[in-house]
Amino acid sequence: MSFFGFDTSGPPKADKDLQTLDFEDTYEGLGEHPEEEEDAFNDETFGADIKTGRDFDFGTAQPQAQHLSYAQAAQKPIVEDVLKPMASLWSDQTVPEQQPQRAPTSGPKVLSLEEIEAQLMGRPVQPPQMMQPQMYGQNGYPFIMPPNVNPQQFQQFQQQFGGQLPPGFMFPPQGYPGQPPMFMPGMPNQQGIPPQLQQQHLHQFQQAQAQQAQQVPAQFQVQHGQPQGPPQVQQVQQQQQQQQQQAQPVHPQAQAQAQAPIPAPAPQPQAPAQPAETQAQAPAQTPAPSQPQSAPRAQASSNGQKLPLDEFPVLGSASVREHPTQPAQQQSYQQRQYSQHSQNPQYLQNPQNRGRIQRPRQDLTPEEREKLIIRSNKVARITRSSGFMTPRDKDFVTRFQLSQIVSQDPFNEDFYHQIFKILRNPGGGAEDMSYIAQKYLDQSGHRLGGKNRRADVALQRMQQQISKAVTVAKERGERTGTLAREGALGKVSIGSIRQPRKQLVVKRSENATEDELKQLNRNPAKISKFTRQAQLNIIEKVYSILLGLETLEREAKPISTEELFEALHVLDVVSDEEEHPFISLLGYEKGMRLFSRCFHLLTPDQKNACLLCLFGNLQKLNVVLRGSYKNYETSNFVIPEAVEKKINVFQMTVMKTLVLYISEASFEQVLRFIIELESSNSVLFVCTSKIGLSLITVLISRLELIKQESNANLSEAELEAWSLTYDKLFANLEERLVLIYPPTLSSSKSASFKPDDDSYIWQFLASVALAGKLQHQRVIVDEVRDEIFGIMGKARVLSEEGNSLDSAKFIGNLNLFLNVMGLKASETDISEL
Amino acid sequence: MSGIAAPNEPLDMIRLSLDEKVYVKLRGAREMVGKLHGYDSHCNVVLGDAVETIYEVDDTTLETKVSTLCGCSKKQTRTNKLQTTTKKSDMLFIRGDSVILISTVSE
Amino acid sequence: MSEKFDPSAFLSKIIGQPVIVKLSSGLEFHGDLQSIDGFMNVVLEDTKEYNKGKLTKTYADAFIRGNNVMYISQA
Repeated sequence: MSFFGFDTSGPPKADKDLQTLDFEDTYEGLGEHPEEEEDAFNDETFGADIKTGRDFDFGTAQPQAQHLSYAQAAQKPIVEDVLKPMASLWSDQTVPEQQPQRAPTSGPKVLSLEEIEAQLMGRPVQPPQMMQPQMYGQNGYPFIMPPNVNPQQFQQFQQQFGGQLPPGFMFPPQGYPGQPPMFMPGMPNQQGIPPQLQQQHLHQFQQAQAQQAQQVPAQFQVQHGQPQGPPQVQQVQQQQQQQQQQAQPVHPQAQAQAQAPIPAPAPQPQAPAQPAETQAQAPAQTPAPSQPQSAPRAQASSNGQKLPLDEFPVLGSASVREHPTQPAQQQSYQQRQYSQHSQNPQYLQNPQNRGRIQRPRQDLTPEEREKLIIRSNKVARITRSSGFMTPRDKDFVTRFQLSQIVSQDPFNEDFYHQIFKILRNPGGGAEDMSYIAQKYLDQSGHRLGGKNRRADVALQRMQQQISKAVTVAKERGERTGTLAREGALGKVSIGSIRQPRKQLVVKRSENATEDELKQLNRNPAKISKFTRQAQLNIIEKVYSILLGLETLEREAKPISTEELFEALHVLDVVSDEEEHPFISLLGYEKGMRLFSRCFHLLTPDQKNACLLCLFGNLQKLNVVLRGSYKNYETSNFVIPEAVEKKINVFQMTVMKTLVLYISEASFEQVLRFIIELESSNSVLFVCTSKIGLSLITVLISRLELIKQESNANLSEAELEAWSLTYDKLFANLEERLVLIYPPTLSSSKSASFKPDDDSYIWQFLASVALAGKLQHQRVIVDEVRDEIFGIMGKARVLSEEGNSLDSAKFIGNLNLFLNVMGLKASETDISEL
Repeated sequence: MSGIAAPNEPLDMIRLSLDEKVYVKLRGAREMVGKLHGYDSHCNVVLGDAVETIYEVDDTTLETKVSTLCGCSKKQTRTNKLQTTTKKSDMLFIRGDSVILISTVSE
Repeated sequence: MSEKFDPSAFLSKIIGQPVIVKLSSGLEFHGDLQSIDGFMNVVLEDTKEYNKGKLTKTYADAFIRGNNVMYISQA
């Protein structure tokens, strides 16, 4: 912080009476590790012989000033200069005060390039309006135009000082507490001055000017009052330059005073007599810093006490320190000067201003001066915005920069570099694009609002880890088969809130049948429960085979139905208690549909085997087993809707297929079916179901049809076998023929059934009667007489009710049976055809 | 029966019940019975000809005193009457997360 | 004995045996464990549903969605 060459040693702060404002305190500790940028160029900028450090104490005084009286100090402009605060930063009133004093000085001056040029060309320098150096006095003090100067210039002044007030710069609190009483004399009037520079710069300026004027001895005003307008000012400047070149240091105060005498625009009733006197008495004049202090001091203290000259404190001396306020004041000075000088390159350039550097300006060669000018310009550039950042800001920047230095790859977080790198090393098309997008997101820190880059890097790493983990999990899932099933949208999901990750891997026995056996062994009573699953599995398997075969069929490729036939388990042999897999397959609606779809693919032998199996286990067929009214005694023999539905499906699918097949089957085949059916010893039960009865009807009808065909050349043995089979069948039904009528369809027991519901019964009776002999027919008619008359009565009632259509249907169905025997029924009687 | 792969995963049971009538117990005291048309691993389920039964405890009429003309008071105590509402739907989709149990329905 | 402490081993061991599955809702299902998967989805056979100790329903096959399962114990 001390690269401006301030002396950092200063007097010790042991004096407890001194209310010292430690500048560091105001930083709230944020500037504890100030790290200035571009320190590396300090030497180049300020000279290598400057002691720089970070231990600069703003509260210390200049060592040179320690044993100087103000009078002495006045002779040494260096000291005063250093102490001179940049008032504009601290108090509105002080700004204009000090500036007139300092403006034109005869002290050594560093010439700007223009000035030198102008000198060389022998013409007065036309100060460019925006040229900053023009606005400063010899020692780099801000050059303040008198109020009566060119308003343009004044405006410029305002811009420079009003505008350059560092926004974040801290003002000392409570306005210079404990200032030396001698600086406060007779300034109560100042209390009325608006304190805010920002608000009323012009007004304050005027006030200050007035004050200044009052402070300046009359003779000075007379002597140096001539420079009144801009031309004069320039002349003065010109003069100064010349003086400078003559290497004749003149106390700046003189110049300042020369500028000062101005008619006060704003009348200040009371002028501080004491400083004015001091100035007048001391040949070398009052130290500059004392005057700017007057205004704030006046505000800080209301006591108008005047101090005798004797009490005028010696700078840096014990007497100064006795004044509790002095160090604070000095501190303020330094602060101000720091700010001020930072705005004033020429000040910085002035070797005399550099505290320790005692190199006389006169020694400077023109080259050195030029160097200095260049340097000053540079410094001006650098320091132009000085103070704009608060210590907090600086600290932030410093930390950020440090973090960049610390990071192994400085480009790691450099977004543009990353993108550049990607663009320069294109790896592979589309991937790159996503990579760029990824990098963009990472680098721009979108996900964190772009605030925390550090966290962003961590996030980046975390993302990488996650993606890695996901990949590993995916691979493992594929390997072990624990990967989640595909979801509804066909996406493979690893795990989510909806689809929780598998937490357990249940070991399974490789051999499913072993499992099966285990279960069977363990729980023999649960056969059917288990086989349900097995049955459904069969269906599933058959379906998958069927789909493959159908594809082949569409492509007109050779089909092997072996696998399909095997999958149907037609040839399985099971005990009477066990369900047959093939039959059970036909117990499911999907199995029924499956059967009708795959039946046509089978070879004739396979088809035959299927039907043999079916008729041999007909009583096990679901639609027969569940379709028998015998199951539903408790519910008035009403077959449940679900079963009815199933029966309908069976009729639509399996029955259709079977009838189609049987209608083309040979006599021998059909005979075998009937024999197979009879061998199960369940004909009567089968006949209690609609499907069973219908199937028997189909078989008998087919046999009778073939027999009656003219060209049927059936062997005696075949006819004999059929005759025997029929007798057996009839023997099963004899005297129990009424049982084929479900109570719901028995006209003698129920009146609610509709026509055609019972048609299958009459069809069965017709086929039996057709295949039987006369005595068979007689038995049949005798057994079902009640039903016949029941139907006739039903038809009569319906007819009387006017429902002749239903009536006719009932009679028609009845006549299916009666016609076989050469009889014909009407609503009233039965007659021979 | 040999060679039949026994279902060894719970979801197989649902798969095998495809095109079959199933009973689905849902959260919120609801049940569905319908033909299983489809499902997925989340137990999202599509049912056809579904009948939904909603059980509600109707505790609005806990105790009412009715004074009759003859002066005698009749005490009616109907506590926690279980009300069922049924809804029918030709086809519906059940979101899996509300499913508690799926069972086959035997006719 | 040690494998008893391995949940997976335990679960594969009790397949086919009568178990009690308790749901977080409090419902209890008693039945034969037919299968189980890593999501704790469970299929029970011959299942009896108990609500507060009362038999409320029976199922031939019952698939219980794993997220409802609180515990599975060997009956």
